[in-house]
Amino acid sequence: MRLMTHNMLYCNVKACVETANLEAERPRNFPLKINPVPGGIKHIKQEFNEEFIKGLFHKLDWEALKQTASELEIAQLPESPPENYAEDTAFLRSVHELIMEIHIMEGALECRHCGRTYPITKGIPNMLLDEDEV
Amino acid sequence: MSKHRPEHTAPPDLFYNEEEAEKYTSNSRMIHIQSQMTQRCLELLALQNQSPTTGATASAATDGEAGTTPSSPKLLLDVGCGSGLSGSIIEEAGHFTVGVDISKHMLEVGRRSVSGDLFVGDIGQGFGFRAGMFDGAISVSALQWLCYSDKKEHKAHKRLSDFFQALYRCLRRGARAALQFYPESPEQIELITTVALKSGFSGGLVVDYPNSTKAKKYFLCLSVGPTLAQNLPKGLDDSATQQTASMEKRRRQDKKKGPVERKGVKTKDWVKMKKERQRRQGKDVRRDSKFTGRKRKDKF
Repeated sequence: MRLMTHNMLYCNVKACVETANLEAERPRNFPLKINPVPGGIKHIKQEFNEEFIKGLFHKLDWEALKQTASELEIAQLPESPPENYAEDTAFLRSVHELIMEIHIMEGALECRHCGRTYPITKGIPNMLLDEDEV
Repeated sequence: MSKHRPEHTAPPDLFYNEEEAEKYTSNSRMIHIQSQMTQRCLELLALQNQSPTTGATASAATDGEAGTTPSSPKLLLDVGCGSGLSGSIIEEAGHFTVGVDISKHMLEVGRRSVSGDLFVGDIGQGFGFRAGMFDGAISVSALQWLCYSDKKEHKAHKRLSDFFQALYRCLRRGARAALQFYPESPEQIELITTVALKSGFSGGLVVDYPNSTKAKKYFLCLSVGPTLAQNLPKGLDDSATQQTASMEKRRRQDKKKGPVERKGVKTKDWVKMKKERQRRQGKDVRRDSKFTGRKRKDKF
């Protein structure tokens, strides 16, 4: 799983969603905390697609990305993205490296609100819920 | 309707086990059909015309040529992505996918062919994506699974509405969803369509090759926001209604005239009519030439 996908996933347990205040600026069930096993993070090179990153960037949650990157000790991101990010190819490239090339292969995702964990195996997170959580 | 619907045998997470996943992905007929349907789904999404300024009017005007002009790379959700047959087609078209499927084994096969992200999830439980993340969604042969209750707690209506509501949330405004499915009965079509429209989508059903039992395909074409009702894309070969009208007319004429002389069978006209019909069913038919319907010369 890439950090891009992580940047859009929240905990979908019904009781959690109901109390997490999804519409707020900072919902409590997002972002999920990444607990990788040692060596569970892989860097896989991928072709840089400037247009795609540009189109995606305004949809990213910068706060969440910043928090995740510093928790995983991958990168220290600036407080806020540069104003003219659309023209800043070097910046877009660094975003691409962060959200497209970092893969969480083994580990777990943990909800900070309800504590539910979702295992990640072979790079595929298991977001299946039990019947009583729907 | 086929007697061997996998939906009747077992729930999807059990049906698509390791063996079945491998079989599904290596079957050349499966691959062919899936890729055709994925391409049609992409066409129905009409991605290249979706810019925030021009919106729906532009996409209506050029619906027919969808897929001919390259669009900027988009982020698409692949619902029931399975082993990634559809995902790889979308990637070839230059888009990026996030795929969800309930079968772990299918996804493990899929990991080899798709570079996009995958995750295990039951679409009947909805999915936790932030609002407005995706530029479109496609689904190939997955939706009908939601109509069957494999567990006591499963209610088709509830699961469908959870799915459509989650889908509606995660698509951005103006985005479309093209969902191909195999309904077992008209009731299923009605159920799926009503739930989708109740969840806030506009749009409706597009049927390709309605004259053929085999090539007939159902696509649910939905849109978030701007209404799709007037400019819903046409199903391939839309001559079904015309044909029934002309049949009706002929019957009436026949009645008036009383018993008429039967038209010769296997005349040139008859052959042409047959070929036309098969063409409408989407079959591979030889082109008409001056030799069409001619008798072969008797040989000694």
